[in-house]
Amino acid sequence: MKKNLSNMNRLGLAVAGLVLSLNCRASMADVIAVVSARNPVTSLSKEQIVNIFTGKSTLFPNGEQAQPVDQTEGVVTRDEFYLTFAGKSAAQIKANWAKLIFTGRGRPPKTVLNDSEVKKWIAENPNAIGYIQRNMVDASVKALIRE
Amino acid sequence: MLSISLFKRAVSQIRHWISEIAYSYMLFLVFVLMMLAAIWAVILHLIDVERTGAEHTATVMSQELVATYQAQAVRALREIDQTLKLVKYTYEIKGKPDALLELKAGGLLPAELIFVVSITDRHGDVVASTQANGRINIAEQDNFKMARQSDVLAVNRPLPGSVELQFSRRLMAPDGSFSGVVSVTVDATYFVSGYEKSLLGEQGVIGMMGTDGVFRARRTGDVVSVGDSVDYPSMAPGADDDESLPQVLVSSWDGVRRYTSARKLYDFPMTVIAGLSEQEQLAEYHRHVQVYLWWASVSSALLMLFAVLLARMRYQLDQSHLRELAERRQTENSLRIAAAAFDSQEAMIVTDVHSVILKVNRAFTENTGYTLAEVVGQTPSIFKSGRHNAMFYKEMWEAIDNQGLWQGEIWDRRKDGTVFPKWMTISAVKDENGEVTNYVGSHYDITERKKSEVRINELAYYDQLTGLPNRTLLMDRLRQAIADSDSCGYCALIFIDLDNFKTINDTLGHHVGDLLLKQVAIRLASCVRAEDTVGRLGGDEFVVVLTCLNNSKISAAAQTEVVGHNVLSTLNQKYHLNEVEFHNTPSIGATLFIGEQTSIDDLMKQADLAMYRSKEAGRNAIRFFDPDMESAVMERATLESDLRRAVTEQQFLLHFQPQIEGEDRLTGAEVLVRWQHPKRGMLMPADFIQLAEDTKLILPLGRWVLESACAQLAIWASQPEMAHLTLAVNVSAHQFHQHDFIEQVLSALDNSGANPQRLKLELTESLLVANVDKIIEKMSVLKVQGVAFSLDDFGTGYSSLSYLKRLPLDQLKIDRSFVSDVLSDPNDAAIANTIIALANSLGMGVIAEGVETVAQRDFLAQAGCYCYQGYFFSRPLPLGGFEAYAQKLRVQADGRKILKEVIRLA
Repeated sequence: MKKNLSNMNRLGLAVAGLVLSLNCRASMADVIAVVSARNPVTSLSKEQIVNIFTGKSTLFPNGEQAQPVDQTEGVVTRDEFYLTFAGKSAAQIKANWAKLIFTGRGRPPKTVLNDSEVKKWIAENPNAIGYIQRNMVDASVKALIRE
Repeated sequence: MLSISLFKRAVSQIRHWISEIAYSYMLFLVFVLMMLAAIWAVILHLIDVERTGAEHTATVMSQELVATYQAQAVRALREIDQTLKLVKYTYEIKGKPDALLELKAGGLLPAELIFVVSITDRHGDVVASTQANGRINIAEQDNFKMARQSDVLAVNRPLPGSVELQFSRRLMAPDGSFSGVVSVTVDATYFVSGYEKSLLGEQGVIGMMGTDGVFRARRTGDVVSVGDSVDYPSMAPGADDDESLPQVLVSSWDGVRRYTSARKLYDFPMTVIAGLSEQEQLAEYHRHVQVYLWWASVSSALLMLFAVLLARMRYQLDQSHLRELAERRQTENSLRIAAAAFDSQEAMIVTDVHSVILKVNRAFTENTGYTLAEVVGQTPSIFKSGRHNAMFYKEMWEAIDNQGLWQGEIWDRRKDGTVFPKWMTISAVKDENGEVTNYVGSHYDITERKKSEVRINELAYYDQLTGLPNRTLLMDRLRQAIADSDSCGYCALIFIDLDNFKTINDTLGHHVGDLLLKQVAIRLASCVRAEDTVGRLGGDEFVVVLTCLNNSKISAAAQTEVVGHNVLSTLNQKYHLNEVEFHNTPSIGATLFIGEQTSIDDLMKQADLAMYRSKEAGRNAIRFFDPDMESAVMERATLESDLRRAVTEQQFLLHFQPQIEGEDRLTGAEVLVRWQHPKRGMLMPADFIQLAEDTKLILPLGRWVLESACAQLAIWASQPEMAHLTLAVNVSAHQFHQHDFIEQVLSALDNSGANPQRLKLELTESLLVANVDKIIEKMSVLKVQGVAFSLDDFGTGYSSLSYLKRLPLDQLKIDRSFVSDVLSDPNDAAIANTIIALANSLGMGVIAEGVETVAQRDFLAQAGCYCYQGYFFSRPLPLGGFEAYAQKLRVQADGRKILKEVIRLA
């Protein structure tokens, strides 16, 4: 009946995620943030990226509206992304959005199913920002340089 | 320097201030108590205010939280309900379950991340869902059952082990029949995700429950609980009133006291609660309370400590003050006592260390006659009587310096000059270092005591009636006389008893008897020398002690008899007592003593016995204890009268003992007197000279001898063969001390026409004991005339060599006692040698008397003494015999001369 979300357990989850990501590193490329090739933004800090994806920020540094595009819950890249960039597990991200939604402060980003979908979406939405495996980057998107 | 002095001043000022405060320490204690009360009142008030504030804050927060939560919950439910209604609408319009996909594609469904929207058919099987979950039937869930019943927002009770809430609405077929439900499934945590630790803390609570009392979600800290039911009315008080105040309730599920507020969600069958842990909300207050209490306690403690210290300081001050007071009181007492003591009857004097008088008391001024002003500044030497020598004062100060005290009798002088004895005590007063600061003298006048002592002495030793020594003193004098008699000769003890005294007493009365005794005492005292003692034994018995009479017992007896007769005649004279004239006689008994041969008791008995014998003899007489003595005295008396006649009748003649120089040269003779007693025949000097001395008959006798010798010298002067001879004449002390002795000698020489150079006077040592200057003067006068002096009996007395040197002597005579033993006794030989050496060194001649053998003469000749006298040469000879002896020596000398001439011629 009880679901314990104590810090200890969160930490345990984070560690599990980290271990997972490290294990996958050999076969997978790094997850990186990408924007539309037309987007003038070339670099963002990890924090700026995380803020955009966690609803704390809706703007690029240049003042343009940022439209984050998330991947569906359970996708490895997603977990890798949040773990790498925000240092948080999927559950933590979910709890964060639950709180934002409940308190009326925001909505989670649009979600797509995979990296290709992300690229496709970004290609169509110049203000979009997403994340994909580095090896999935192509001309349709622009990988952001992490400051 | 300045800062130091300022600092010191400040310190002393503070000390003074503290002592002033401490002085009123009782007031201070009161002040401290008031301070404490104030502190605690303020602190308690602060605590109260704090608590009120904390409670108010908690109340307000609880209210605000529940209001916010209410709004959020209502909105969240509405959104869910909107979704349900949207799906329902779309479904019912389209009649297809795939409406979901369209809605999703249109972005009209809530975030998939949180919410799952699903549709079931009329049997409860999920036919469409935003989340692929496989086949699931929810027909048994109460939200399904409720939704099938009516078109309401139904919510499930979460199944055990599940935290999902499922909100449902019925779907209707176009015919209005039930065709399934649309559900939004959301994690229960969603409804409590608004839990802000910054507001609710770790022990706060937010929760949503159905009006059935079942919690659909509840969160405290990070712990979310779902599905447990509570007693709704008690756990959701005031839920119906949006303005109701929170209540502090013990949450039934975890026992925590919380400021609990509840609000009903009017559109939905739900109630939300928000609770703030009282412990957490009041934690700060409790912390503050602790701090307040700590500060209050510390400051109270400090204050009390300060108060205690000050009280203690004050107590000590009080104690020392009390001690000081006590000491001062004691000192004052001591001073008062000292002052009282100082004004005692005893005279007191205080000086400084230099003996300068600082103070005297009244007794002192009264006793000495000096006023205080006259003596202050002086030293006690102004009281000196002059009766004590420097040694006395030296010893006194030594005692004071060494023992700190001197006590003794001292004679001082009063202002009027009178000298008086006092008993004096002088003490040195020392300070705590042992240094003398003062001297205190006290004395009392012992003049009266001295008088008493004299009086007591009189009572003890003197007869009250006559003032004569009593028996005690008499015994003492008698003892003294016995002790002295060894060296000074016979003494006499005489008892005198008044004849018929009892009759006088009986007939004329005691007072007349007493008067008689007094008269007798006076008369007796007149009969004796100063050194003798007259005493009264008691009654009519008197005693006389005659001391140091004579070495000769006969002489002493004679002297005693003289005194006795004197007493007889004196006491026989008439008495005039109380106008009555009458006559009385005594009876006298006497005894002689010398040395300690006889005890005092025996002497008393002897004298008493002698006195009774005189009574037996018919009274008014004197008797000796020793009958021989009596006859001797009688004989002596006879001899004395004979001697008197002999002197007047010239019954004496001279004998001459030759004096020889060397072998046989005659230089002269010593003249020796002989008494041709008419009855006894020829008497030698030993038989009568002492008597002559005692009776002073020696004076006419001596004069006769001197004149006779001078006459003989004058006769010889005309005879060539005798003209060179000298005559040595003995001169007694009595003779020599006669004031006209010189005239006697000179007139004897003048009258006879004798050559003074042929006259030699022999003096005895005993003559020289007194008044040497006078003797020397007399001798010198005669010496100038040519008279020579020889010292007789030299060595038997106590001649002082210094006198000897001053005396104009021509010759020393070695006494016969030394000469006789000169060969047998080394001491006598030594004495003889010494006398010879002495004479030689003083330039005097020396002659030895008593030379009886040739050996004696040879010894003396060898020692350097060439003049002799004695039986070896010749005994004393009458004039004719002496002249014949001289002739014989001349013939012998002539014979030797002729012989020598013959030998020489031959």
